[in-house]
Amino acid sequence: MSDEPSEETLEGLRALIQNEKDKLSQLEQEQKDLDQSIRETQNLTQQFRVRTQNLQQDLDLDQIRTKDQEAQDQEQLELGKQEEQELKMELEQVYSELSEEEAKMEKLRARVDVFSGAPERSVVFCGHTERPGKGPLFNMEPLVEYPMEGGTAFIIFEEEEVAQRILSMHKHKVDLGGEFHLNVEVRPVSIILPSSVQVQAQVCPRRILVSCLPQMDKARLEDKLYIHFSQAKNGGGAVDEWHVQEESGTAVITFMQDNIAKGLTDVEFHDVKLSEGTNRVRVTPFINGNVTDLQTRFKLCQRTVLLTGIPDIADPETLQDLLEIHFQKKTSGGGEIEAILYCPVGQTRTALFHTPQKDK
Amino acid sequence: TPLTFQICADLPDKEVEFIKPKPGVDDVTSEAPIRGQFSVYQQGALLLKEGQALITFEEERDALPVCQMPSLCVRCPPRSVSYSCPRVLSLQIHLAVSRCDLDVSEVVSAMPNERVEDCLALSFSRPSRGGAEVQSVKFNPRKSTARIHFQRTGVAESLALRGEFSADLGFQTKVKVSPVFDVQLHKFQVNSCGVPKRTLLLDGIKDTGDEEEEQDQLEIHFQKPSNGGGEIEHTKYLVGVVLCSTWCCCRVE
Repeated sequence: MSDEPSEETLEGLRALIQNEKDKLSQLEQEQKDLDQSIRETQNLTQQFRVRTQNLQQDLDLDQIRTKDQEAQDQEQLELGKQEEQELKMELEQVYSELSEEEAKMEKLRARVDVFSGAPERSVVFCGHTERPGKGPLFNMEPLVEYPMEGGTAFIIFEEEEVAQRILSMHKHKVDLGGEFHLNVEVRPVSIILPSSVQVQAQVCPRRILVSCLPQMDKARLEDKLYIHFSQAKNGGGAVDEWHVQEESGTAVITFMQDNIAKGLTDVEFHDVKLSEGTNRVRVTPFINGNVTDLQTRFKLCQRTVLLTGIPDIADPETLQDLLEIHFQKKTSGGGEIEAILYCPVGQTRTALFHTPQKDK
Repeated sequence: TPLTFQICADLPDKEVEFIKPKPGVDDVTSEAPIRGQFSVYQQGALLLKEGQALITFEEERDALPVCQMPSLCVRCPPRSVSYSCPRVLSLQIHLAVSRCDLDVSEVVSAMPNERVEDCLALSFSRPSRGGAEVQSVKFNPRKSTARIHFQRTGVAESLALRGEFSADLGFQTKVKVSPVFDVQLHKFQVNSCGVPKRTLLLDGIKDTGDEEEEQDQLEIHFQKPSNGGGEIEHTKYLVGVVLCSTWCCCRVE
């Protein structure tokens, strides 16, 4: 007998069949395994597919998010740029405001400079006391020349109440002696006074003010000043006008050109041949002023009255005396008279009005 | 551009009275305007302290008076004072007020210009309203103003004083009236406060307790020519703890 099962014997065939059955089972088993494997792999593939999808979705989402973020960031950038622009403009404005303020400061400095160059005048205490207020304190001295109409007279009484009494009577019968009398009317007097003035002041480019002048003959002084300031070597130039203001002890020189005065005022002190030898004079800017506004008020005289309708029936002196006598009488309602001025018909007289001196 | 600045001056109310006739030859006509010369000057104030005195003499002293007072006092060096306003302005306003002209404003009317002028002439010539014979009327329709020229003086002044007038411009209406004047600026100057010539500042005056007596003593002392003094115009002496300091007004002269 051999080991190998043969096809010739029945057992051999049975064994071969059994072998083939075993192989079949094996194959079937293998097939099962493979199927299993396939299923697993398919499952895995599916899982991977799902995973891939998810990942893709996530990726897409991320991309969208990124785009959004980019957009936002871009917006922020734009905003930031705009802010920067605005801040730059603000800075520009502040710089321009600053330079404006600096210009103003310069102007004020220049103004102070102009004023600091004002010639000195001696000061006097005028007697009254007053706390300095917010604005500058001004005083005013009026001097009024009143041309009189013919047939009128001014009377100033010593007492206010006398004047008021005379005014309240309106018409007066002035006794001329005998049966004669004349009728006069009495009226109050109002004078226009300035109540406020606005002046526009400007440094004159063509003029200079010369101070610290010595005491000498006016005409000679004017000549010497003219000679000195018309010479270019002294910083001067062609002179248009020149005169000495005796009251203030200063001289005003007007040049033809605009470019001379500044140079002279910048130097300020000049040595000029005036009296004997040379004198040191001071040259400062001349300030032009003109009135831009004037407000006035009517000031009623308290002690002065105006007589009108005085007929021309006697010589002026006699008439004035008669009037004075009448208005001094208490019986006429009058009182002490300080002054009287009668203007005859056909003639002219000028009355002076000013603030009366107060007695100490 | 030249430096320009504005100065606004409020002027005080001053009393004005007839004082005397104008001296010299008078060649002015009675229609001449009323001429006013107003000297305006800025005042700087000097702060006077306790124990100090200010004396203004009527005339300039060549040599300032000797100080031999019972109470010790010294003459203040002139440069040691400071003023509230170191630079002061002064100017002169020349005002010429017309005696025959009157300015009228708020003349509102729908009538033609000639009619308005006629109506104004008529209204202003009525004595019952204070008017008088009118020589001419010039109407400015753009500004609603008119200028009336009267035949004689005196009318314009009394009407201007009232401020308004009842005119007949086809209907009764109130118009405003004001004087006509010409303004000129003279002697405009800016000055620094310099050394006082007539004013003396004293310091270190001992307080005897009686301000009036002390002030009198000072005046007596400084009026004596033997002390180098003279007629006094103003004095201000400050004593006591109540009033520590007072501002004294000074002006340039």
